[in-house]
Amino acid sequence: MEIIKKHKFSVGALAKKCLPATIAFIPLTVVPSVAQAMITIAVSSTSALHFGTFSAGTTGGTVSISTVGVRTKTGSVTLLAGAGLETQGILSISGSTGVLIDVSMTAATFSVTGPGPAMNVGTFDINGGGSSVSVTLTTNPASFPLGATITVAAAPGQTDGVYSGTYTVMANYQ
Amino acid sequence: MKNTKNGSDIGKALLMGTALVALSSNPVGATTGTGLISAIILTPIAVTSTQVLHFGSMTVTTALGDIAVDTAGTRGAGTGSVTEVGGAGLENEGRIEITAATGLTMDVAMTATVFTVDDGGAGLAMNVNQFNLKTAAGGTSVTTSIVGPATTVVVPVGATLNVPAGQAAAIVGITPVTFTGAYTVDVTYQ
Repeated sequence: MEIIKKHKFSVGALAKKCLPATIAFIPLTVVPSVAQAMITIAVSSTSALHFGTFSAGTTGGTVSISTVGVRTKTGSVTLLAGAGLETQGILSISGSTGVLIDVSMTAATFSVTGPGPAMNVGTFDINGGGSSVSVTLTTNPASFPLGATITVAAAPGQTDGVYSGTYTVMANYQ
Repeated sequence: MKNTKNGSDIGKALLMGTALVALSSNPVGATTGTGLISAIILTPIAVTSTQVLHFGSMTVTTALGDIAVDTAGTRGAGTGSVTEVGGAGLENEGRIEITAATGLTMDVAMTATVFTVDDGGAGLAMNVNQFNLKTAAGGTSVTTSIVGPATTVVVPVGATLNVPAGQAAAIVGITPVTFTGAYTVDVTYQ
């Protein structure tokens, strides 16, 4: 054993003396795939979605607002003129330009409440693409219109008065 | 090797490269926002005439003339060829009754400034103009509202009847002649 140890020691010592230790450095190159700083997305509403003034009628029906603010109805609902309150909603989205952003309603329907039974608001239309769309900001922030449909019960059950509620929308980079 | 000075340098280089890659692929989180929804439900407006605008009885000669009834139902003296005739007391202001939601202001407006009456026969059609709604000087467009607990409001209507020249000749021999017509108003929520 001693011979072996000695022998090994001798070899090690010899190697150290005769063969200088070289270590090859392999440079590590990092190639970033998409090195891009993204602006945090923010989404808000700058204009309320307003269905205007209308009467329910004997059988009720629906009132729709398009993304360009055109109001239509079905059933016995009568659209009442006057204050011209009806208007599409406006979403404002801020974030990085030139990047696809998914924008979607967080639920299929939301409700408005008031002096009578609550009414459902659904069939949302964001920027003409339905309730879930992909948009690209050309400016920061950028605005997108929102339309929807409200379902109205028959009178006199749907009591006169102001009904209000909120909707929630989500935005995310693709 | 890791324990040598050079070995530890390699280890550090490897760690740095890994950290750089991780930063460039970090995703941005989703965010939500809320918006308001509003709607207003109202009783539809209904308008009915509950009293005819009646100029009463009068006589006419060959010239033209006119006669007025105000919003209180008071008939003025005839002018020109027109002479009012008392007796039957038929003259009345018109009345329109509006049914609508309470507490809201409504616009009430004549759809035209002139309407006509005729006898459906030989008589000459006559213009009715200078309408006044609500008050003697209300004009052709006013506002009104319904104050609860009432569910309706009445708007009186006054106007002037214009008798053309030649009316007397047209109806000679067939008096009394009744002339009738209609007026229209628009009522809308503001």
